[in-house]
Amino acid sequence: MKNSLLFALILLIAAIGGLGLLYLGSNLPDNDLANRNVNAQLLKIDNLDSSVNELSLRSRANLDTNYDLLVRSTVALERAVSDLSLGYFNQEKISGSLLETRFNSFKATAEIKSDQVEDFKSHNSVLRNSEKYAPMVGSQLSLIARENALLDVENLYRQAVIDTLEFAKQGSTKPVGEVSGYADRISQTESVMPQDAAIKILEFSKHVSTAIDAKQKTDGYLGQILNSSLSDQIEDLYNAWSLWQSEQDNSQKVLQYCTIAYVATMLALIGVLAFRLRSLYNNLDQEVDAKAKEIKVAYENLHSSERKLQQSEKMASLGQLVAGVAHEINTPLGYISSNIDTIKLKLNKMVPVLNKVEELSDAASNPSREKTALNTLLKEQIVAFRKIDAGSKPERINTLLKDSTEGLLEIKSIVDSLTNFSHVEDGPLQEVDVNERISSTLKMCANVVGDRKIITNLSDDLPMVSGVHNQILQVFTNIITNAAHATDAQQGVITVETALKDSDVEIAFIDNGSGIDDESLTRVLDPFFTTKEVGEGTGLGLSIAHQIVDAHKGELNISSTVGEGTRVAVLLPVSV
Amino acid sequence: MFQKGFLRQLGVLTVAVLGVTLSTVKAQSGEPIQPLPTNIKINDSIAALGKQLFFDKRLSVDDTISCASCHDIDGWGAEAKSVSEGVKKQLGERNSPTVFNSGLNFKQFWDGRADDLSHQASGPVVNPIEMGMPSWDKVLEKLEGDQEYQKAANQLFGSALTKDVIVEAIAEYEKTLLTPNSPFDRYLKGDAGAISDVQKKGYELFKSYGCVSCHQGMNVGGNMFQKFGVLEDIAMNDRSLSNDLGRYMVTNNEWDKRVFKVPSLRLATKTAPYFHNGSVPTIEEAVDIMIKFQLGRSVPQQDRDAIIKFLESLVGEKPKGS
Repeated sequence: MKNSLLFALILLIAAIGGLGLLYLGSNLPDNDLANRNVNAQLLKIDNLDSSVNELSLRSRANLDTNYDLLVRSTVALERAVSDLSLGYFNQEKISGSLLETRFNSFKATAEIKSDQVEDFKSHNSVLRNSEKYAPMVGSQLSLIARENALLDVENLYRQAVIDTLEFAKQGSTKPVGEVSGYADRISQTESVMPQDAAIKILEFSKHVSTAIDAKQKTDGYLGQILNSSLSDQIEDLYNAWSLWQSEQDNSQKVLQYCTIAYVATMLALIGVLAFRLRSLYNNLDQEVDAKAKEIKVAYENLHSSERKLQQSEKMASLGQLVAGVAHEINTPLGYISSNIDTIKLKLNKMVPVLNKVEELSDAASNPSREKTALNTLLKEQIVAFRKIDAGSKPERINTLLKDSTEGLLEIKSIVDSLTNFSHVEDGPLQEVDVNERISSTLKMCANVVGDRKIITNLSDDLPMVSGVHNQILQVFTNIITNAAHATDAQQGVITVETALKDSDVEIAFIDNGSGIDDESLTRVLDPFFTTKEVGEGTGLGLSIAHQIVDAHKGELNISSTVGEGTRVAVLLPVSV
Repeated sequence: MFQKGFLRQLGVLTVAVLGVTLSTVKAQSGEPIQPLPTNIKINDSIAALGKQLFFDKRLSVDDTISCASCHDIDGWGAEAKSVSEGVKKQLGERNSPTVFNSGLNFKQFWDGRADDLSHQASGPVVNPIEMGMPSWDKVLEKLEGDQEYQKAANQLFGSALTKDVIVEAIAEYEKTLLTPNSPFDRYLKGDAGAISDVQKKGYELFKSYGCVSCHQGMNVGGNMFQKFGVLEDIAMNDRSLSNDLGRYMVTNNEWDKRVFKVPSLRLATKTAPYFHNGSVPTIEEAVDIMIKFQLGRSVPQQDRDAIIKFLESLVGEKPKGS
């Protein structure tokens, strides 16, 4: 698999996993906050429940003369329970749990308690009135009974008032049945009491029975309110909530496991990635090494190619040189050879004369010499000498020998030049006479130059430059060869000028050749740049010349106009 | 574990604070009737939207009835009819109670079937014989194009106009409809000359006859239920007061037969006719009926008139927001 693809895959897995966890996490309730809120809400309910109890008691004891505070607490209690059922204890959320069962029972208890509070309030109000009015109307009736001397009735009324009050206020020692009986007994007194008391008797009876009835109901409801299990259920409710929360925690555990799995997966993937990176790194090292080796080999190849090229350039130059040298040597060699042939012929003609000289010498030295014989011999000697033509005279032979000697000297000078050129190593710096070098160059390049006209315009009083003879010769050779190739074989003119320019000697080669266009001009010093046909030039000539000039701390300047010609100037510093 | 220890401490603390509060209240005045608040927290913008809705007849099926039709804000928040006339001239069964001070009632409607004002407001709109809308969806459909409402709902509730927005806004408006600074309230706050001697006597009678057992608190009622005819069977009265079974229709508890919310007497002298069906036209007859059937006694005319004079002193200023 491609590394980038692997990396993208890992990123994708990381992103999907992360989003998944985030989704899981965001779907979980904030337990701490929820616990705090539920706890606070339950505390609030417990407190409100206490308030309701307290305020009911206060109302019952007439400490509170209105229900405003009790109503406020009751409404707040109902709201608090309702808030829970709309919020944390939402039916849908807690459906099917113990919490739901307990909360439903809790809500029912709260509702019952609310109803009980209402019933309590209603009956408490009634009780308040009756327990106040019953003694009042009872007292009035007692007076009427006394006025009418109805002692039993008066006593009944008084006892009814006392017992009713006692019962209503704190609960009577007498059984409820007996106290309840007062209402009927009071009603029965209507027959003995004066007629205008009838309405009051009815009121008294009603209020006594109402007081007793309302007292039982009021205290019954109050007892139920005070004994309501709302507060006790709160603890159960909280426990159920905790249980439910811990069940929710299971989903949190799932989230935990998911997180662990995610982290483990990511670590594994990162491990894979690290391994891949490591092997990649190792490969990279190896690859770099291999590439470096390749480059080194290529560089070495190039280097050796360059050396070979330089060598072959040198060889090419040498070839041209050898051709030139051969031509130069051939001419003197020709007439030396011919002179020797001629001398040989002339010497052959001298042989009969020399033979007669030997005979004459023998005869002259013989003691028995005959004058006649001597004379004959002398005559024959003279005849033989006269047979030799004027051309075979020794003066002529001397002339031929002198010419041959000159030819041999010429050959010797060419061989000397050749010796200098073949000396390829960098020589030690010498005092170099530039004009002499030009002469040598032109001599050696005679073959390349051919029929082209060479104009030399050399300064007479040039100082010596510091350099290596052979190298300077090569620079000039290369430049002249290029100039020759650039010019027409018949019409070509190459001018060589030397001059002193400040502290340099300038050697200029000017041709009337084809010229070099601007683009090529920028590259002519590059190695291997050539405009010649493949095989004709190496493209190293000017490059080598440039290198050599550089090594001499000189300059090589080329200017050219296409169609008019080229000027190559070499500046070499004057020897100090 | 549930923080029971802490809870106990807090409980004790609450009781202590409550005790202090109560004793402070008692120290200020031990009277069973307390002055109306003069200062309540209201969101004015929501109340303003509520006011518009309160007067909007489009909340009824034939665009003839608004909340204000039966709760006359220029009057005293109620109407002079026995029972209200809904859409298509249909008559209801109960008298429209005043909307003034209704926010102080512990429950809403005569039978207390609504816990608060917003709950109450959601009822009449879709009651077939009141405003007669077939459903709240139809109401919203009708008001959907009202850019002003939609804009206000969006600004104030961050939602489109919904049933909740409408009833909450109306409830907020209704909370502003208080009648504070009545002569009696000023008397309670220490202005001894705020009410007349007859009214002072009327107040004493109101207490001694026992009216105050149920009509107590700052709204002089409106904070409890009571059976109509607790000492005398209301059927003995020749009005039709016993026909309505009241809270029994809500709870089905036997004891709740003819149980009604004890109404506020704050504006009793201004909001005739009387009782749940508006069958009693005068305050005098109403007081007579109350003393006879609720208190189980008779009342001399002089006492009754003094009580009525006292009731007059309960009438405060008309609401500023109306």
